Order: sequence, then C-alpha cells, then structure tokens
Amino acid sequence: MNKMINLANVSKTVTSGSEKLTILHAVSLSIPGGQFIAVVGPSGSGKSTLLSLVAGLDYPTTGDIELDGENITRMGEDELARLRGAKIGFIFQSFHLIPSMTAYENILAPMEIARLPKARERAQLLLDEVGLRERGHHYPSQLSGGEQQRVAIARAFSNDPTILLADEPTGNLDSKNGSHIFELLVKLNRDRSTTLLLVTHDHALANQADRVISLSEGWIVGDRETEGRRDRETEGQRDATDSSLHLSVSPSLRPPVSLSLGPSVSEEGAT
Amino acid sequence: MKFVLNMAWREMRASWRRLLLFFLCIAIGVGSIVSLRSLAQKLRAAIDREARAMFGGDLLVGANRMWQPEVKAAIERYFSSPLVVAHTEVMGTQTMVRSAGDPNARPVTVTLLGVQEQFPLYGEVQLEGGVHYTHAMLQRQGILLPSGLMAQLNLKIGDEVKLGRLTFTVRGVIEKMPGSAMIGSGNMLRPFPRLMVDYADVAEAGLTGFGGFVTYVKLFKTREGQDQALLKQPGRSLRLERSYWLGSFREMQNVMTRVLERMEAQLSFAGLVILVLGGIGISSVTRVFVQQKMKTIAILKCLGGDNRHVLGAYLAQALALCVAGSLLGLLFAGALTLIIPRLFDGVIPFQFEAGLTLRAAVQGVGVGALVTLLFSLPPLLEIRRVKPMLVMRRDTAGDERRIDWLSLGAALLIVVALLALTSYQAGSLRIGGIFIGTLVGTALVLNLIGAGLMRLLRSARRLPSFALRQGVGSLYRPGNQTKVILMAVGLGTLFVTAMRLQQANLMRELDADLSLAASDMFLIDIQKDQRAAVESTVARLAGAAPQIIPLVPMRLVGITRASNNPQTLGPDRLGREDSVTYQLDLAKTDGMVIAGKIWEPTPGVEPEVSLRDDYASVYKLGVGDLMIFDLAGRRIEAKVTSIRRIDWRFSVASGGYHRFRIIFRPGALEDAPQMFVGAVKGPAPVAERARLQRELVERFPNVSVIDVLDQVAFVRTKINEVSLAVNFLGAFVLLCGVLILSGSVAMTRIHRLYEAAILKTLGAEKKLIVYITLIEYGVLGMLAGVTGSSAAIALTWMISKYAIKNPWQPIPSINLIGVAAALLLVMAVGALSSWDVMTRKPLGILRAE
Repeated sequence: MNKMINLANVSKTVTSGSEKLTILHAVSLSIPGGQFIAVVGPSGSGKSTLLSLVAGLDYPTTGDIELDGENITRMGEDELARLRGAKIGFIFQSFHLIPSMTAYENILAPMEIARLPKARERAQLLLDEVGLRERGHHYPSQLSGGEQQRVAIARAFSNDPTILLADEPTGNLDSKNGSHIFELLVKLNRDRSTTLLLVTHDHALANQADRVISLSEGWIVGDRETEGRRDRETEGQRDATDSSLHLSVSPSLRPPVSLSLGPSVSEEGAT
Repeated sequence: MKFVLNMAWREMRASWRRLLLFFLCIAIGVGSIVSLRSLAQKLRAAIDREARAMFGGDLLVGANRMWQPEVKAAIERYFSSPLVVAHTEVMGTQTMVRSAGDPNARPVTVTLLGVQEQFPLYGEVQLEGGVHYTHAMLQRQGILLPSGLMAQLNLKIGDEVKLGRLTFTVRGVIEKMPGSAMIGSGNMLRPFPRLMVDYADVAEAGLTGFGGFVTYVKLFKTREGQDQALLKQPGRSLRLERSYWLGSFREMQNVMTRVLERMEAQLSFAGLVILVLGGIGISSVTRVFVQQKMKTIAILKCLGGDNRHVLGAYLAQALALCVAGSLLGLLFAGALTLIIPRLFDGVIPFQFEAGLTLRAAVQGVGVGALVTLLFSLPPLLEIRRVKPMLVMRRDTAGDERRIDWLSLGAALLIVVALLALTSYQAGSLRIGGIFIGTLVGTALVLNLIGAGLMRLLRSARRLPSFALRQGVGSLYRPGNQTKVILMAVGLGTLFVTAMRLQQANLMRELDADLSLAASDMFLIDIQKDQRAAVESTVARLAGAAPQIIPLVPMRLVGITRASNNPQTLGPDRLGREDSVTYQLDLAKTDGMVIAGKIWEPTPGVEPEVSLRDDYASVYKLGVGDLMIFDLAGRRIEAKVTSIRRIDWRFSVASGGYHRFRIIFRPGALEDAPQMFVGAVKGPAPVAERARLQRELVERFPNVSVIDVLDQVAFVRTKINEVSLAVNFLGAFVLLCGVLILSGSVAMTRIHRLYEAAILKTLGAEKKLIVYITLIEYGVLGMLAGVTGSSAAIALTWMISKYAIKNPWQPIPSINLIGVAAALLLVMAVGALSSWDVMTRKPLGILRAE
C-alpha cells in the first residue's frame, strides 16, 4: 500500500523564555492510504502537535514530513495552505466554524477557495448527508454543539480530501452526541476511503480505528493494530462487541452520494 | 475572486455594526473634501462666468479725482478706437442714505453708483418682481435700492430717501447688479449696500466736493477678444500717471482665480485633515476588526485559503465600505453645500449656485479611496502574520521576531503617499510637509509619553488599594491599549482645546480693540467750511469733541537723497497720489519712532515729514532725504526727519494719525486745498448713536458717519459662524477619538471579561469591578487630557506668535475644561464599552473559556 503520511525523525522544540521544551521527539511514522489511525495519549503528550505538523500548520524542528509523496517540510505558508485546500480535511474539538457564515456557507467556503466546480450543489448534498438539510441557513451560534460538529464534518469532506485530520472531534459533546458524530465520521471516512488521523483521549473510540498510536511525553510508546481491524478484515463489518458505545447511525443520514459530486467521489464511493 | 467577493460580503453582512464607524469615518471625510472643493470650484465657475459683468466692462480706467484734461484727452482717443464697441462712465462714492418719510430712522452707509444710460455694458440689472430695468427709472431723481436696505429703512417703492442734499424716489428694488468689482465697496468684510442713481445726480447731491471719496470710472466694451489689444493702445501716458489706473477684466479674473485656487487648496486641505483623522479612525477600527477575526482567518488558512485569498477578502471589504461611505459622503456633501454658502452671505459680491461639482466628487472619492487603502493596509497586513496554528493553540506568537519588510515598506509608502496627497490638496509641498511632520511628530511624542507612562506605572505596583493596583496595572498588562488611547484622546483634546483657545483669544482681541479704541465712529468727507460746525455738533451729541484729521492729496514726484543714502528708484515708481496729513504733536500718536527725531510741537519753518516705516522701505527713504511733492501744481520739498513703526493691533478702531504714511509738520499745508475726516467715541446707547448719525447727516449731507460697532458686530457674527464650523471639525476629531477609544477597549474586552469573571468567582462584588474600570480609564483620561491640553497651549501660542502675530493670553479655564472633558469622556466611554465586563455573570464566561 502507498504511504499517504510519512514522518521521518520529526521533532518539535519550542522556546519558552530562555528554556527550550521538546514536545515531540524524533517521531517516525508511516501511514498507508485509507487507514484509520487513532493517536492516543494523556494531555501534553504531543498528540495535537503531531496533528498540526502533519497538517502543515506548524513546521517541525527536525525531520521530514511527506504527504501523498510530497515533502511538505520546506513548503511556504501559502503553498501549505493550497495543499490543505486540496488534500486535507479538518475536524476540531471546538468545531471552528466561521461565525459570520451560515452552515451552508461554511461548507461552501473550502470549495470556493479551491474554485471547485458545482460547489453549491455539492455543499447542499453534504448538508443533506449530515442530516442538516433544513439548517443550512442557520449561523453557527444558532446550532447545537452536535449540529455544529456535523457541519464541520461536512466541511471537512467538502473538498474530497485524501487525508482527514480530527482533533478530539467528540471532546466537546455529550456521550450521545459524541457517538453520533463519531459514527458519522467513521462512516463517511470508510465510504470515501479517506486516510483518517484521529486524536483522542478516549481509548474506546481509539479501538474503533485500524491502528492505535500511543504517545507519552513526546515519544511514541505504542503502535498496534486493533482487534476491530482484524474483525473488519475478516467479517467486513463493524465490531459491535463494545457495549460502552452506542453506534447507531442517524436515520437522517443517507447512503453516500451516488453521486453527482464529482468523478473522484463517485469512483471512490463505488469501490 | 469569487471567494474573495463572497467572503467580503459575508463578513460585512455579519459585522456591519462594528464597521459602521469605519463607514462613518469615510463618509465624513469624503463629504468634507467634496463639499469644500465644490464650493471653491463653483465660486471659480461663477467668476469665469461673471467676470465681465462684475468688472462692468472689458477695460476700465479709474481715478480718485475729477478727470484732468490731459487724461480726458487720452481717454477720448480710446473712445474713437475701432476696437471699442461701447463705453460709459460710472461714479461711485460712500455716503449716507436716510428715509425722507421717517425723520427718526437711522441713516445707513452705502455705496452710491451714478450711472449713465449705456450702463451696464455687460450683465443686466435685475429688479425684484421681474421689473425690466431702464435708465429712465433713474431720471428725475429716481433711485434703485437693494431689498435688504429697503427693509432696513422700512421703505416701499414710491417712498422717498435723502442722499446728500437731494431727495430721491424709490423706483425699484435691486436683486442683482453688475459692476461689483469696478468700484470698491468700502469694506472687505462687509460691503456696503449698493444704490443706483443717475450719473449727474451724484454731483447734484453735493457728494463730489473737494477730496470727497469719489471714484470715477470709465468702462469700455471691446470687440470680442480685443481687450488686450486695446489695453496696449493708450500709450505710456496713462500708465505712468499714478493717479489713474487702467485694468482689464482678465486681470481681475486672474487675480480672483488665483485667490480662489489658493482658497480651494486651503479648503480641500481642511477637508483632508478631517479625512486623515477619519483615516486614523479607519486604521483603529480595522486593527480591532482584524484582531477579532484572527480565529476566522486562521480557520480560512486551515481550509486552504492562502494570504492572497484572505487578505484580498478583507481588502475588498474595506474598499466596498469605502465606496458605500463615499456615497454617503456625497449625500453629506450635498447637504453641506446648502449650508456653507450662508457663511458667505454678504461677503461674496456675486451670486453663485450651491451644489456639488463632478470634479470635486471624483477627487473626493479618489482621495477617500486612497486614504482608506493607506490607513487600512497596515492593520490588514497583520493578516499575513496570523498562523493557521491558532486554531490549535491560542498563543502562537513568540517564535517570530523578524523584521517585516513588507510592513516597513507599507509604512514608508503611507508616509510618502500622505505627503504627496496633502501637498496636492494644500497646493504646497511645504504645508504638506508641515502637516505630515506635525502629525507624525505629535504621534511620536504621545507614543513616547505612553511608553514613559507605562514604565512609571510599573514602578507603582505597591499601591495600597486592590482596586487602584488592578486599575493602574491594567494600563501596562500584556495587550494593553494605553498608547493607542493616549494618542487618540490626546490628539482629540489637542485639536478641540486648541480651537477653543484660538477662538477665545480672537474674541478677546476684538473686545480689547474696542475697549482700547479712542474712537468707534468715523466721519468722512468733512469740508473745510464745515469743520467747526461738525466739531461742535459732535461734541454736543457725543459728549466729547471729535479728533479731526486733515487730508491733503499730494503726489510724490521726486526724491533727492541724502549723501549717505545711495539707493535709487525707477521714475515709474513716482507720481502716485497719497493722502497726507499734518500733526503738531507727533508724540501723541501710537507709533514708535525708529529713526530720526520727532519735531517739537510747534509749527515748522521748513517743511518736514515723518514716514511710516513700511512706506519708507518701499521708497528706500531714510532720515535726511528730501521728498518733492506736487500739490495742485505747487512744488513742496520736505525733509524726512523721522520714521515711525506702527502697532497694528490698535489700527482697527483707533483710526488716529499714526496710520498715515506721510505726516507733515504743521506750517506747510494749512492753506492747501484739503478735506477732513473725524473720529469720535460715540455714545454707548444705540438710540443716541443713531441720533448722532441722523443729525450730522441731516446738517451735513455730504458727510458719512460710519459706525465701527456695526462692523464689529458683523465680524463677530461671522467669527461665531466660522467657529461653528471649526467646532464641528473639533466635534468630529473628538468623535474619532471616541471611536478609536471604544475600538481599543473592544480589543481587550475578552481578556477583561475573563479577568472580571475570575475576580467575581473569587468574591469580588460588581462595585469593585466598576471601581477598577473607572480608575483605569480615569488615569488614562487624565493623562491624555493633560498632555493634549498642554500641547494645545504650545500650539496656540506658536500660531499666535508666528502665524497670525496676535497677542496671546493663557485661558486656564478652557484648559481645565479640556482636561475634565477628556477625563469624563474616557471614563464614560471606557465604562460603557466595558458594560458587559462589569455586569455579565461569570459562569457563562468561564464555561465559554
């Protein structure tokens, strides 16, 4: 399988006053395309730093990062922005919707930036897909936390990214809403065969991933394939044995677009 | 591009309330520039259109005395030129008109024009009620008066008025008449009303006695475009004859156009000052806006937006606001152009249409767009520094302290562009440089004060009271806005206080002049045989004898310089007629002798003169030189024995001997043909002043009595009106200060909310939060007020000393009011802007965090 994300000896050191603090120590990591990776670890272990380096939001102090074969380490800020627009979808713990835009416009924005054709139709389809057809004209402040995160998920998929990065996407939601969101995220991810890198505290959620990477004090202390992956590989379905999760799919969710969303989506949806 | 425009629109839709200030700043600035420029351009257009009518003809020959035979002959050669299509004569003088039907009515000083049948050569006399003007209306002692005078004298058509020794019948009411520039109107500030009678009636009424202030004018209409050719024809004789003047409407037009061009430059410069202040507001609003939009910007960058996209979106938003603001500014300018011409009521001797000009509108909107761009660019460039990482971590700063060449370049571009813009607007690189220098200099000083203040406050950490410590501490905590507020409010206080001080000093000057004045009523055109009777009448009615000053018209025809004076002068500088006087006791004049010695108060045997210093320097004369005068064919040689310097501050109302350029020692001129002017301190009650005027004019119809108090009252009204405009400017500056202040407070709002929530959680009452807020803004307001107020003292002192050369006095009450107003304003705006900080429940804020 091709390497979608590849980190070679990546470290990050910040300066605080006169002191230097290393947040990430020489991390090397290779993630094949289409895999769902969970990154776990306690607060301050370097999870979010790892995510932001992969996203090109920050530069590593040492090492190289490759995304889909492209080395991003020496890219300029604008180049990185364009790369994010083309290949990366984001989901944040605190949603980070643009408050001056409606739900629909928030989904539309990345496609407008990337000048994708049929952006409006696509934004409307994604709204439908996350079950917010009637809420498209509402502003973020008029939506509940769960609804905001659904908009964020739709936005993350709007550019048909090859990599999806999620930073504690259920961290600000109650368990029921959190479950719905997680379910939705995983479903859309699987439907589109996106490479998903999920940062979470929650080991139960992490166990839904194909692979779990554990971080502690900036070091990778564990990297294992989950039972869920093995089960899925054998049964081709989701592991339903974890009673701590209620993973029902929202009835309003539709099957993935059969779709007039663009050739790549329909092809991926069909594969 | 689509994203840029969509994003700009979405942001505006969501943030229009916050951007209202931005919008208003542009609207007021553009409105000011467009209205002021339009005014000047309309005036220029009116002059271009009406120049010939104002002048009365293409060419004019004027004289202050009856035509001499040789001049008459020269002019008659003119008449016969094939270039001349028509010609006419006009006579004008200042005199008093009184109602014949109402013996108690107060006489009014007017400019009387005696016109012939051919008048006017250009333009037309427009009468009220659409009545057609014919010269026949003036025959058999008919008179035309302006409507204001009709009302003042309570007259209607058919009533009678007295002028000199004749009684005239009112035949019509003048709406507009040509020739406003051909004969002086007696007063720069307030032209006297202009009346029309038949040419012959002026002499008939006894108003052309010896030395009377009569102007004789011959007007010529030439073939189209031939005025310059005719101007060259008269030969040198007329030009060399200094008692006459020859001019063309083009010269007047050129002079007035130059004056108006300067005025346009000055007015549009004033407009630019407003716009630049608005620009500071724009800059502040944009800065606050970008600060508030940091997260959105970071998200957009996460979503693939590069700097071009994001910066473009916000720049498009600024420009869209600029366009909308400019449109509102045009409406605002339209309203202003209806108000501004009232300020010029009675000052401008011709009619002009109020309204906007397309050129001014384009210039205003262009300058507005440039100022918007210049002032919003630096804060917008900060967008480039916003890291997408901000979505993950609040504090992403600290690792980048490199020099930002783009920002430095932008700053340089702004200074250069502003310099170019102000120089273009003011029509002078020097003024542009001074303005930008002052602006940058003041900003730097206020910035330094801010820095010094924060350093000082840091050392005051051990204050006893918690509220005091917290309030003062807020002034130097991270992200504080101390310097910005200090600058905004300091500049605002400086402008407003300086304007108030200047206005108060000006008014005080006027009061001083009047109380110091020995005289406030002037008598003009007293003939020799009337002198004694006038003196006794005035003494009886005013309770004091008037000062009577003789006027002798003489021409300087030669100079024999003393051996120690090597200066020379071309012969064409001589020949001009001057009114000289003679005075026994020169020590009583207000002038200061700077060379030579004043004569003993006894008549002299040999003629000797004392000169005013400016006159002496024009003719390069010194003590010991011999001046040769022509007095009605008699040659008089007088030796210069002293030179005086005048204190012009006393010139407005004192009107004494000292104003004369040439004063003779008595003994040489007593027998010469002469007339007299008089000055007296009139009685205080208005009714008695009116009686004095009435009785004098009744007894001596040729004498004009000018009441300076009327003039001063008029000047006062005008100053008050101008002050209103200036106060409007001040109010705008203050408004800008308030906008900047509230914008700055808004920047730290989230920080404050959080801090207040924690303090409340820890047990602080609302009262304590209020105290802390008031102390913080109280200290800031006090400092800004004191700094601005002190700078205002320095500024007005410099203006008085170096620019308008007026005496300056401190007026502490205005400064105190300025400080108190700044203190209260900053406290009020600070408290109101922080209202939710003081009142919001802590739980919600802490949860949101």
